[in-house]
Amino acid sequence: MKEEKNSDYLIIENLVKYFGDDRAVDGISFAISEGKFLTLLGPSGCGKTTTLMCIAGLHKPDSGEIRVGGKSFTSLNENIFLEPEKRDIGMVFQSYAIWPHMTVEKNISYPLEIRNFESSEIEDRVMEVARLVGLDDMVGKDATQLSGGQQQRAALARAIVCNPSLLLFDEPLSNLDLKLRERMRLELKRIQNEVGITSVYVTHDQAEALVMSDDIIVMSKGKIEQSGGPHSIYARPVNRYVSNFIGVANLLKGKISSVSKTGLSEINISQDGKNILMPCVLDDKKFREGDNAVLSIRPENVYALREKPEGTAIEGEVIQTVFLGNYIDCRVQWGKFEWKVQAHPRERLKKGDHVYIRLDSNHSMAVLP
Amino acid sequence: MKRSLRLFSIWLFAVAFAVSSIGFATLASAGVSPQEKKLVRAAKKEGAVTLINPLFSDRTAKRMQRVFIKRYGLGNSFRLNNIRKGTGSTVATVRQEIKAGKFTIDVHLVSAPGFFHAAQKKKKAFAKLDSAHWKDNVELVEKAGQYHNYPYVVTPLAYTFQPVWNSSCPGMKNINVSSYADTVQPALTGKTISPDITKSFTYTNTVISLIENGVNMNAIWDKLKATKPIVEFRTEPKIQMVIACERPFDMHNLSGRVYQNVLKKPGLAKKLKIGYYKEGQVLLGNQAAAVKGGPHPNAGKLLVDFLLSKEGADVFVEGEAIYSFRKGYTAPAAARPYLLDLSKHKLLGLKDWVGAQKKFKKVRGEWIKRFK
Amino acid sequence: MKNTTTTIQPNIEPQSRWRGYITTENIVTSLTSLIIFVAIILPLFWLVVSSFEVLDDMGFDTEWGLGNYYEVFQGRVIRKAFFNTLMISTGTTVLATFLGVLLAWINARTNCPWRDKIEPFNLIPFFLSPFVGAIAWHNLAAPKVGFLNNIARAIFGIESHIMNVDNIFGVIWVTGIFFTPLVYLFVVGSLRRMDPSLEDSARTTGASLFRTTMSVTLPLVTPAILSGAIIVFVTSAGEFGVPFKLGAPYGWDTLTTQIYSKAVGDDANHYLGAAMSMTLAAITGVLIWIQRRIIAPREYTTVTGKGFRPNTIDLGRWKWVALGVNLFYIFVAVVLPLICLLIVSFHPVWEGRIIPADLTLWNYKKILFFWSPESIGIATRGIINSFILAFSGATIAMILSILISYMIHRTKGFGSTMLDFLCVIPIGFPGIVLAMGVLVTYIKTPIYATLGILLVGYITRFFPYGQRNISSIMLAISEELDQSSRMAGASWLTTLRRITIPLLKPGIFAGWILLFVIFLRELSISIILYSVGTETLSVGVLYLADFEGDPLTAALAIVQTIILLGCIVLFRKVAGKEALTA
Repeated sequence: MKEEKNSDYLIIENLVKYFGDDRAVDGISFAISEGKFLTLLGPSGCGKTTTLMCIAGLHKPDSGEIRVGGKSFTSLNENIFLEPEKRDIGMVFQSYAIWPHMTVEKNISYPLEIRNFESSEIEDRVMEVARLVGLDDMVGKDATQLSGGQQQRAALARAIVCNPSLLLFDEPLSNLDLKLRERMRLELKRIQNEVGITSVYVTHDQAEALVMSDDIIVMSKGKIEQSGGPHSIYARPVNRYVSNFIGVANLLKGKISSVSKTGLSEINISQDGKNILMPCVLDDKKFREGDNAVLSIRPENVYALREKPEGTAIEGEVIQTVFLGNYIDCRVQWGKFEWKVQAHPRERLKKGDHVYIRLDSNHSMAVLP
Repeated sequence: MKRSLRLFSIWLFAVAFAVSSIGFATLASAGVSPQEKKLVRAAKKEGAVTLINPLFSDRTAKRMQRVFIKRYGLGNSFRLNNIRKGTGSTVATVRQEIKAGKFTIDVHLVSAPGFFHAAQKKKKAFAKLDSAHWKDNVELVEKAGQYHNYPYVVTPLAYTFQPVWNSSCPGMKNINVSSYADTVQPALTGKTISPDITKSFTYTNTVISLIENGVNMNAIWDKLKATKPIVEFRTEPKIQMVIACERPFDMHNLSGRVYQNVLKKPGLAKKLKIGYYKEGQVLLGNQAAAVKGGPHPNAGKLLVDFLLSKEGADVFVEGEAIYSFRKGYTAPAAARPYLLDLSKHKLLGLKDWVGAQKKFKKVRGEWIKRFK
Repeated sequence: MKNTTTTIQPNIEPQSRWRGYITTENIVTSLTSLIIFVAIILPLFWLVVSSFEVLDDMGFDTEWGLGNYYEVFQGRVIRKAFFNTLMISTGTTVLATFLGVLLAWINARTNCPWRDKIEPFNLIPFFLSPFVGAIAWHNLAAPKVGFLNNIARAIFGIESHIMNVDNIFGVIWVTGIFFTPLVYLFVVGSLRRMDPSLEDSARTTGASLFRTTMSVTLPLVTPAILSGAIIVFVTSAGEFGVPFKLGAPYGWDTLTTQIYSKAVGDDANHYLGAAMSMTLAAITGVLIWIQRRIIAPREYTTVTGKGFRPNTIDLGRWKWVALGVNLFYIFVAVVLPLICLLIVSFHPVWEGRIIPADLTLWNYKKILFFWSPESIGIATRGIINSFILAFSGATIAMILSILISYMIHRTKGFGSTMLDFLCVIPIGFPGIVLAMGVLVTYIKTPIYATLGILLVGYITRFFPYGQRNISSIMLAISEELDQSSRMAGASWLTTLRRITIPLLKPGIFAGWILLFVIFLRELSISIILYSVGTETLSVGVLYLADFEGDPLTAALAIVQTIILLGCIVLFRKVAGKEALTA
């Protein structure tokens, strides 16, 4: 990870939050650089929203520290708990939380009014952000007249109108239809780029996370599974959970048979009574020989060939093909295992074809089980 | 400076003297006793007095305030607050206040000897009176077998339950009631209102007194039951039923109720008849006492004495057609037709008003067996 | 970017918990809970304690024991009152439910002519005083002098009467027609929100209209019907005015009339009254519990919340019958009683028949012209006091309701569950019972014998009604609307003022009006707590009935009714049609 000048803009340390006896957030720590876009990714109940609420101050953690730009928001050890309104944070909620009893303009200007801005300045700022989010012709309308996507934009405008120190998003796109969601992803990212506010984004949609984030934290059961840039999370998952959650992966259980510090190591996959050694990348994971591991490889790094390749050959039969335009999603039966393969359309694979599976060993990752 | 101060104090003295002598003059002219005079100045300062009782209407209370102020020169800002609740409600209110030691009531006037006795005996609840007029009342009070506990509880007035009927209603023309035997005549079947003795001290005391004097109430009740009476305890709703012919005969009502309705519609005088019981009329003395700890203690004592005076009697007798115990008292003309000439009737009291309370359960039990 | 996935045990210092808790939000909410707790628990506590104290014959000393409960279950009068109460409540529930469901169905689902115009009138009895209704119906249908019986005798030439309301059936009849709107309000909403496809699919299977209604429509709204029925049962068990007028004098005592005579009667015995109160509260408590825990949660499972406009059923020629039912109800519940009271009030003394020569406005002069020497002060004082109490009571109760609903729905933990529970308790306690507790709790405080103690009684007893109104809306409003205001930099109080309260406005206003009207006609609490100068309108009506006769009573009852109707009309104008309809 590159060290940047302001690399510790938002710092979370040992955050713990209980709901009853349930540890919703189980001692997580992370930090994020100024201006970056961080996504907390995970299935529902993984603690991502709770973490966000703790940052916002809407939930009070049971222990841990939260600091933003050197200012302590929460520090249970030092008896610090800043009220949410004193944190200077913009937040976009899942339901947008646009106030139905106000006009669009009033909704957006609310944070400015709370901060006692001059009315002329309020007007200017409101128009500015309204233009930024593409709502400039809607400001005079009643909030109830807005469509879902427009409410989304209004909520964003309200969150950024007074240049907060931090921007929080709680699954803001989950209530939109697919088309709109895809468009809004890019839009959100563009606006965030433009205003340059450090953002924490919560979602269960891995595609959203990959598209928008500078950094992603994958969470499960209140703990962090892995963190890193979208590319490294996708290409170099640390464990079975992450590789399964992000994208699609072929996952085979095995044991590490040889460890190489420099080149490829080997993993022993046992399949249908046969043991096959496959080359794999360990990264900096501290595997030793004999450790249980999972071989994880993305479908685009798996090739189905008609001719037998050199080295270890995996033979199988094509049992399903789905034409998706730019590639063919193809399933190959290998004993009890079903390979997911992305084949090029020109391969013209058909159901029943006999093929050989070849793996791109530079992308064959040995991950923790 | 000093000089002017002295002048001022002399002037002040003179004014005070003048005012008090004027006051004196008015008091003296109304024949106010020295005991009352002692209370007047403090009462005036207190500015108000609160009386709780089940009898006095707004009209009577207003007149009483006027006469009370005039008699003692209390000034036009003085207020006589009259709270009229049911007999039991007044007792419940005062009892609560005594128990809690928190007072809004100055004078309690009601027929509830057992309560007054217990409150004084157990809680020393009433102020000691020094009444000038009690001596004019005590003789008749005792003669009529009434409870009193002077100098704490006096008995200024009384009422008695009489049969009342509406002669203009169907089938009532030839009815006349002058004994309990008359009340159970078959002609009154479906027409009678019988008092609910479980809800009233005064009905129960009336019954106990009659039993003490040899009347067989159980036998009367048995016969009464055959005439299918309805059972109610509040006198005004009962007189309304009598007037409206819903139930044209009420065994126990007050002549004062008839009087007040006649005031509203004079034509009723001919229709409504008031009878009496030759077995004896039970006189129900109403006790009055000044509550110790009341917000206007002097005005309270003064009001109790006022109720015993002729001026006081004139107001409530004229207003409600009830009986004063003053010796040689003549009722105002307006109320006279509604008052019995007590000297011509057999009057009953109770041997032991306080002890009677212990008989309540048994007597009411007998009644409940038949009517509930 | 750093990341550590170490797990640490939360290490919470005891003192670190507390400092963060001193916020406006916590101070205000804790204070409110404390107030509510004290206001509800203290009177209750007193009631429970005193039900175990047995009063001696002299009426001042008590000793501990179960004697009161023995008396309640063994004493013939009270036991009978207990059964009368059950019978009256059952009868009332059957009648009110039948009428309420029928009217709701007619107005929500059929093409009954002019139903839009008629509907508001169906709700009027809900806002009027049942006690006044009882007075009116006594004059209408007392066996010998009731108007209706007089008319029947004149027309049919019969000797006896066709109707007699001076008995348990009269109590059921009057209470039933006055509580019909309660069921109506519960049911009509469900009928309106019902997904029409549920009925349509039944029709496609070949079921007739009648059959569909009986086998699909009504079963679907059964939870709402049951909720309404239970509320009616509980409310009528606690109703005092109607049995006091039509039952008790004719040998039909109920628990409330008995408690009243134990509270303020000749042989006043609070302790026995408290034991009777506990019995009554036990019945209502169990029913409320059933309604809350078993019936209410099922209410919306089959009835979706979407804004359907269900198709109305064409009744054909029967629609005139439906109209007839509507008009009949309004006639017997509103028009007839009012006409009757008007007639009585124009006579100096009511002799059971109209005497044209006597007609006079004298009674109105006596109760309204407080400057005239003949005026009856209690009437005008009652009007003024009731307005003061209704206005301030409704306002304070709604403020409390907002705070309490906020705490129940926006804060989590034991406190909110507790509050939710506390808010049900007053509904289970009839006014007369609660008032006794309030009286003894506050007798030593400065509010005793002032309007203050009435205010406390009113609010304690009725704020759950307002709280319900607010809570139902608050449940429908996303918490994120509040949270986003906090995130926008607004403090808790600002958020409450600028976001929460404006969003709740329709509920607040509807609740306020409801309480205002309830307070204007309140009888059973007032009758226990009033003192000199603090009489209320209904106390005035009762006072006049006790001491001044029927015509004056009728006059003040008419004045009270006109005031209530005026308020309803005014509020509908101000608040729009939704304010007082389902």
